[in-house]
Amino acid sequence: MNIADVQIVSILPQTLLLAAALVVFLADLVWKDRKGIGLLALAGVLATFVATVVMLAGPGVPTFQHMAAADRFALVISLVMSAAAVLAVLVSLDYIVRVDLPAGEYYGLLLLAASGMMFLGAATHLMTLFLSLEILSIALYALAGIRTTDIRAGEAALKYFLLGAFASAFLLYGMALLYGATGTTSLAGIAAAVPSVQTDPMLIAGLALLLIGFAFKVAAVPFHMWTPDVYQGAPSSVTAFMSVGAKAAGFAALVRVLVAVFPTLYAWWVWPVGVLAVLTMTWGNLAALAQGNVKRMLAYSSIAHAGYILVGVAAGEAGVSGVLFYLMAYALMNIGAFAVLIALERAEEDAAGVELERMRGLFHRRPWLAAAMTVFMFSLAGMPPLAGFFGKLYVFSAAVRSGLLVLAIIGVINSVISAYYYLRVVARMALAAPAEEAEPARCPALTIGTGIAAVGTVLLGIYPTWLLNLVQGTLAVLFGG
Amino acid sequence: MTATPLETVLFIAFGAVAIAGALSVILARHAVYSALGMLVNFVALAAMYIMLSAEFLGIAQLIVYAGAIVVLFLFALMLIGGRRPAEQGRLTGGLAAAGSALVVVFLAEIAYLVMRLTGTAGAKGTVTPDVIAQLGHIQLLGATLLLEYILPFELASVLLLVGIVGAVMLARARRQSRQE
Repeated sequence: MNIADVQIVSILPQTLLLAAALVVFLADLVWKDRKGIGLLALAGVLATFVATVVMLAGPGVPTFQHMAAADRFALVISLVMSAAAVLAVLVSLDYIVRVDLPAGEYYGLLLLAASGMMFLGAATHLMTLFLSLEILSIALYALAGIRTTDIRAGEAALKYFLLGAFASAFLLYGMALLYGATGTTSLAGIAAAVPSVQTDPMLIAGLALLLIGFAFKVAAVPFHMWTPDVYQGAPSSVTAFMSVGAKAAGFAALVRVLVAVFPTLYAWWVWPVGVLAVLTMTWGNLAALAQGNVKRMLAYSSIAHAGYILVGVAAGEAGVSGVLFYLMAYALMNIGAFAVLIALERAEEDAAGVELERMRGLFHRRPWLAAAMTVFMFSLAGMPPLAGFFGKLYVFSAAVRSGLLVLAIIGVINSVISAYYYLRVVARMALAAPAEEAEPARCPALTIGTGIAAVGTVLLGIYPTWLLNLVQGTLAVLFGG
Repeated sequence: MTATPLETVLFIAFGAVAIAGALSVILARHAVYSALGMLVNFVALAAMYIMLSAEFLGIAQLIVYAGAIVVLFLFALMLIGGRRPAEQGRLTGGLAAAGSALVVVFLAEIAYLVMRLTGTAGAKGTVTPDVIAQLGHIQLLGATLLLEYILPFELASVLLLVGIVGAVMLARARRQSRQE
């Protein structure tokens, strides 16, 4: 092997993000304009988005030396990530000036976290898998605590850091056992070795530890304890990005490991994943019912959505395209919902997130903002014909096809429960406005971000086949051929 | 390749020094002595690497660990006042018993594995002593690190960057708020 074999093109989107992050760090030294630095970051994520789209349309590129693939699966994850990053930067442009956050560190870490997430979606080797997971995790720990004047943010960051490190230890131990059982750290190599060792206790133990580690990272019950406090304590724009990005990246790696590496052990992992799914959906929804703070409610709702996605994971091969569709839909509707909260949030009194009462009368004051929020809430609840409905439809029908009817039924019951707390927000917005209420923030970038998310949520609901064609058949090339 | 008597004697001597250094790390009452004990341990380990014909690893161990890391430890100790003897908290009762039991289990585990694995051939790679003699450690290591494992290698540096930026950001903000 020599240097000419290095296929830099297969990691082009991630490399663009890394380059953009470095430019942002350097620009921050000489340029004190926070909006300007935000626009630099926006240019970086837009370039990444375009590169991903071009690569998806192109003929396909080789893997990066068995370390990272640029297969359709990885590219779709990159698409979700870069869309989420574009929206996150758009909603941050005005917000970080308002709540006084350091621009260079904020955007730089955001871009690095996004690149880590994309690498995780592309990783085909335990080493790249672990390193990219750590890149995204450590960047998110720091971002969660970036509002250093707020003690709640400090608590969130510390909690996230300690439990995240704990989860990483589980993952690492699981990886060590997998290596011990199969003698290789490349996913393709492990997949090839699994049929010969089958139910070797060391392999099963490694798989179990890996599953626990990922369950922590995607916030599945009972490994979710950190989620509500972290999501509530972090700045809203960070929560928006982290709830979508970290989840999508974690699920990408989980799906690649379970479905592509351990298909022969399906009978061993389907029940743990199914039980996790039921617990996660049910607990997330029941806890969300009791919340009077919209930001905290969305934190529990994010746990519930992890549960729906786990139903798709439990469906195995049949569920892969549904999971990818769901991740894209969730990225649009959840960041959109947070964008509306960011518009409502006032720097001082709403440090812990917007209370439900503050939504009162939004329809009368800002009809378009309220309409966008209605779209996001309906979509999160899974009403047709919005993106969230088709996400649920695809994962539940995949579960039925895989013979997991019970999971699908529990999922549908949970969707009905969840409709209550999503629609409560809409009902509150339609009530008469109190007179003394302050005007929500107006900022072109925030409006554009909210608009893109809303239009995307509606379009994905009307033309789901566009994305569905893209995500179907991704599994055949999980190792990049 | 069997070891000559001199090699065996040296190996045991370095091993004894390494163990003595490691013991002094945990037994010394002053943190500075612990750091110096670690230095002894690192140097002895470096000597053992060189005896096992891993020269590059031995030199790197000397420069990076014995040189840089121990100096960093000493700096940190001086900054936080390490010359004061540490409050010695001895484990008592159930904790001590549990700890001893864990140590015994761990030792037995290692002893069992060493006994069982002595004489097993192990997997043979493409890097044989002949290849090493031809190309040298540094070239082989460099080629592996910068060609085959270049992506993990670069990701590790990105990871360090993320850690540095995050830590500096949080630490600097705290200092600013204290000054206000």
